[in-house]
Amino acid sequence: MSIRESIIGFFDRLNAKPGDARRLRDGDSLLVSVRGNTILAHTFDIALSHAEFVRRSLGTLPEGAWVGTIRKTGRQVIALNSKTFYGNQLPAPQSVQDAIRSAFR
Amino acid sequence: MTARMVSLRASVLRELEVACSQKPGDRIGRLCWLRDQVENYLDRWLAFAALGSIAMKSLVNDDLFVMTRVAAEIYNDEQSKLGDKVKGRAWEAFYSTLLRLEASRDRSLVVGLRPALDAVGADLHDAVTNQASEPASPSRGGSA
Repeated sequence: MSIRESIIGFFDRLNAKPGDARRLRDGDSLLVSVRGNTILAHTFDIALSHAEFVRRSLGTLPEGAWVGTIRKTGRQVIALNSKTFYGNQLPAPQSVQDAIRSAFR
Repeated sequence: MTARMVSLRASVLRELEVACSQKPGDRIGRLCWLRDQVENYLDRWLAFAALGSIAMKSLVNDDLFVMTRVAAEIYNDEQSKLGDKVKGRAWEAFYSTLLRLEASRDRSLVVGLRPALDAVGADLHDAVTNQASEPASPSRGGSA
């Protein structure tokens, strides 16, 4: 982590309010579940499979919820589908990308 | 080793013990589980690499690549305990490609990773088959 990133991270934590988007660094990756505009669950423990992440955090994937992997890339956070749940790792639907980007930046 | 690597390594080892708790002595089973995890982590990384818009410098330093490397190192440790019971050539080819990719950031190496890992799966399948066909070792202290 660069000195600049450390300073930005420090002030982010200092000024953070509940509900604020969480700042990620380039290359940071998480497993996330989303329904509508709400982040249902997330973990930095990417050693887990998506199935195990859902089982431990939600029990089962709720109707209408999405699960996958997100990664900070440059200035953008990108969400890709879970291969286990969707059979592909394509970019998530736009509504999911929007929900993710309002929670993580 | 970074704090992130330490944390991910601990997580994989914890999951390995849980997954293999039913057969604690089944070393080949542990390797099979680890190979499946490496595949899972690698596929996630490959999906982002396939977007084409992410620089290789970023890709080989990201969490998903680190996760793959960490799991691969644990696989190495486990395989070394097995001696020659599992053919190691396919694994060495995969692991060396992973290391070369990390060092060189040569995008052309990416396409070789998945086939190389598939070959490891074939070697493990052979090892499981051989293990099943081996005669059971005589039990110690059995009735005379």
